[in-house]
Amino acid sequence: MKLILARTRRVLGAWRLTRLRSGSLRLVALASALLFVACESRTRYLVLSRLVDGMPSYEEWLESSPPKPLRRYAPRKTREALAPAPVMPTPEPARNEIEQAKAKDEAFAMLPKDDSGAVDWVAALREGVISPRTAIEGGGEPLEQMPIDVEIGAEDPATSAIFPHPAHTQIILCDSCHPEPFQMAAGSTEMSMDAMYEGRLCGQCHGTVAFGLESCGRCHPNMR
Amino acid sequence: MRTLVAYTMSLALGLGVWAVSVPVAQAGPGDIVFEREKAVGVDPAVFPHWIHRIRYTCSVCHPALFQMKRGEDPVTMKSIAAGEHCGKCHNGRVAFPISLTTCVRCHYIPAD
Repeated sequence: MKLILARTRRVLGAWRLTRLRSGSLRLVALASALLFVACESRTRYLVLSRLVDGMPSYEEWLESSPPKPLRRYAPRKTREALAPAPVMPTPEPARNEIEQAKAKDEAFAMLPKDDSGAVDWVAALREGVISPRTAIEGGGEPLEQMPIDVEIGAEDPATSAIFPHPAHTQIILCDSCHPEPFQMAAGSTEMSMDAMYEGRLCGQCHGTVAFGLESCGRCHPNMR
Repeated sequence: MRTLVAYTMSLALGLGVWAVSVPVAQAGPGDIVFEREKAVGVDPAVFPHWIHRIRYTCSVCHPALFQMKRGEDPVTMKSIAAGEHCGKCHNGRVAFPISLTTCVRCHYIPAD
């Protein structure tokens, strides 16, 4: 019994010694407490939700990024571990030189151009400058091509246009264009250049992501 | 002396503002600058079509992940974090993840 009492007294004495008496010790304690609070997940969430819009709720966020368990001993850091983690993962090797381009200008210099100076993506594909994957992972199988060219007639045959299905179906699926904005039966959708200048029909892509309406000859073979 | 300090400080401030607002990438054909429902202090997100179509066919994203018409899909950081929209690839496995070190890879003001 005596022994236990003596031991308790000694422990209490040691505890008293650690009391934060001096100012500098208090400062250190405050700093470490602040550091602890800043590393706490709820505080981190508060700061993150201020910086990033549309953050998930705290519970969802916590599930998607669970806090790391505290480690008593930090693992020995090797040279590899100290090197910064690569930001761009490379799950698949680059297929072309262009995929390794570091800047837009460098990439565009490699792409073939048409008469109007716009990028000719069809030629890029044909010449093997690009070999786009058809699936998010694993590369995917080449798309099945629809072989029919559709002639879009006009009163003046000089202005009639050709729609090449093969050039489109090697990169894009039917349901991106059918039945909206183009109905399936040829001739059932009224076409006009005005609509395209307004960004409808072909103009939805041509003039934005594909060559623009100044590349006349690519659709109107008689206007080359 | 006081004016010198003031000049130096305003120069430093100006340089700082310029450094954070300078565009990090040039605009390309078919780039989409996302419009926001409400204003926030971060630059708008830019989707560079060209860098994606060098690597993937249209069919990978259209029309399953993104409808053809711009503005039809409600893309939010929440949906991306949940693995939808951009988050299908931008998850750190296929392409760079969304994180506080990668913000400016999408959020910037494109140069003309």
